[in-house]
Amino acid sequence: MATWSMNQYFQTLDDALQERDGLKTAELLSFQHPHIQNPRLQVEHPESQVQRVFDSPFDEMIAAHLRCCWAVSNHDFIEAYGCQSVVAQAFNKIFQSQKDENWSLPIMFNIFIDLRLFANSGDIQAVHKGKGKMGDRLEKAADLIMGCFRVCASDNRASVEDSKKWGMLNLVNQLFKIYFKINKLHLCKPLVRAIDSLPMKNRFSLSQQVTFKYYVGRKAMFDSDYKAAEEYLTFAFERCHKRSMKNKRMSLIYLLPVKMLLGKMPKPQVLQKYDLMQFADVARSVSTGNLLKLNEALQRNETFFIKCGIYLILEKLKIITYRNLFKKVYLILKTHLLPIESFTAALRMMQVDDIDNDETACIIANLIYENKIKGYISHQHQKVVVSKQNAFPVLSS
Amino acid sequence: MSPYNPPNDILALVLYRHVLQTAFTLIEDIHFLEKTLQNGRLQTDTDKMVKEYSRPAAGKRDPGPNDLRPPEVLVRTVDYLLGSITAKKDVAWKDIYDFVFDRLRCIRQDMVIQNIGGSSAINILEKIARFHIYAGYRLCTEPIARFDPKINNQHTQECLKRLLYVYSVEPGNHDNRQEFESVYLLYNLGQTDALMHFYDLSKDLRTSSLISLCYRTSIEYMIGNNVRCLRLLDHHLCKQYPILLCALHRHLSHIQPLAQNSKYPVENLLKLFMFTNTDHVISECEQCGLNISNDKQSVNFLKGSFVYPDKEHKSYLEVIDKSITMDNLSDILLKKLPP
Repeated sequence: MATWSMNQYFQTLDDALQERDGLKTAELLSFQHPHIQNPRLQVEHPESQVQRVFDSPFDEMIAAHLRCCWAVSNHDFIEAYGCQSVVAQAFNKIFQSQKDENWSLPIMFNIFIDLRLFANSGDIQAVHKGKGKMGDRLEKAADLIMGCFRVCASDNRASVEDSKKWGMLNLVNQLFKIYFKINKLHLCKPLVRAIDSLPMKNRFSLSQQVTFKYYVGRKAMFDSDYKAAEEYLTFAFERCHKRSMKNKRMSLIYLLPVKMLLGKMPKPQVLQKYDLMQFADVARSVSTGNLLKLNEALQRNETFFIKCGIYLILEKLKIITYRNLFKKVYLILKTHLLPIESFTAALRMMQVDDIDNDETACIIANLIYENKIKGYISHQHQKVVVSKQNAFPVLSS
Repeated sequence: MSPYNPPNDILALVLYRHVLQTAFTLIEDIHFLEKTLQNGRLQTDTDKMVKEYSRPAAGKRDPGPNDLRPPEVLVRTVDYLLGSITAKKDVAWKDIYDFVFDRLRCIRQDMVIQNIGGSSAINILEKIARFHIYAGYRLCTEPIARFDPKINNQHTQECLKRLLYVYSVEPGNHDNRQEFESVYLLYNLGQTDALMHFYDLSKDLRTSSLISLCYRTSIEYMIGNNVRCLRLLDHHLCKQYPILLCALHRHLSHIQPLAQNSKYPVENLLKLFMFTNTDHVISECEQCGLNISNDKQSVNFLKGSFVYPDKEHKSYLEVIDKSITMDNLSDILLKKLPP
């Protein structure tokens, strides 16, 4: 393959197209395949050679692909993105004209993965050269993917096995990756709805479903829908292939804070296994109610948590930390009539600046409101009266 | 400048052409704030005319270079609107708002069409954002038919987001960036988007005293320590930036009912919420379905009897009214005073 002549490449590609062999064609147009390193296929102006073998609109797609090989060999990803978007547009035309057949789906998958990767690298190069801002190409790539997604989603006439709808989830996952990168999470919602309403939604390949659930879980986390986030991220974590340690770790980074917020603390062994010891101190300080240590742990790993986009949700763990701290006060005093002052004293010990009874009462009132403490506040006596039974209900119930 | 003596200055000439155009094509639609009292009659005053907003629509000609004002003129127009019009004491402020809002909207439109960025965009947007935030406070008691908080809110958010974007792409330090990053946090108190934006800021900005204070306040609001948010109203840093208080004010009607829960002395509520008198506290509590004891000394908070008021009830705050008056309003909007 790496020593093919141009004609050999054309011959193999033409055979694959004639036989409608989607997988084979997809390989020959993919940048995961060794042929792209073949200098004889890296041509700046391949149009005339291609036109001798292929008809329109295939010639356009293949010529752009070869020019893209040339651009990649020069490490010019701005140009590579330009070529790949021509490939994508030509493919869209071909794809749209194929009625009642879906053999070209594998080609589509490969073209759009490469398109997204080149858009990303192109953006980085452009920013580096001061010729544009991050996201310019990614956004345009998203438009192209969306165009193809519409073709897939509107394929209502074909029978199930020939339907282009089988391509939808793959494209949605590509779009998710872009939207999360350029911070346009609000665009995800209609995509989730489109997938959820598909009758075949549970019959997509497991790897695609794992990716989908991972992103939907992260989205739910941002929308503060923690129950749903837990469900989706658990699926992504448990069903992810066990050799994909990196992906499992990524799911865990979001699953851990969500679980902690629901009162489920991780075991140190899990953190060790996935190299996530940053969470160890956080988990320990939350479960012991140590607000001071929690703040320290957050500060210490600030860069990591911010990069992962979970700093905010970790701040929310303070609510549970308050509850655990107050439970300790209750256990020490061994009574159900607790002076507000003693809670304030506990918070002062945790170096909460200029805290007073009003603020403490407010925090307690909210914990009562959220059913994390059973009881009421008597402002007349400046006391918290907690229930004699189960004053601090289990969080994870 | 008089229409009979065309000015020599090229900028003034552009402005002059606009004045003439507006004056002679729409003569019947002249706003009364564009007229001057002469010989006992309101006369159209070409010096006072400002280009009106018009929605881009199908079938309408795209504005040509003749219709657009360059950045310097836009800055001058904003200064005129906020400096001279907003502080007029003889006109209902609601009418001032409608007029200024419309003209500022047109300024933003001119800006977008010409893709104006950089320091002039920052200068213009900062002032417009301050105006909208103040207006949200000033008109909070108006009925919905006279003032729509939702529309004002939309425009405020648009200006703020655009402004923060220009800050982030425009190299160098920006004098008022801290103020507006803080405003954005308080205006969107406890909101994920605003908080996530905070994490994208550079470490220097994040750790600056004003921004970190506003961030902490937003976090405390999110985790339910509302008393701390109310205390911010009294914080010395915020008192230097009255616009910050206005930005926070829109959340107070949410904070106030949330912050309460059993028998609570009215006096304390008074201090906490910075209400001006006892009657005010009592009416506020009654709206939430809370009983006041007969001696008017305490409020009975009961989870069961608590209801959220049907309508958001908003009221003025003494702290804000003291720091922004009709006399210093334009200085605050244009930031002429040292903070």
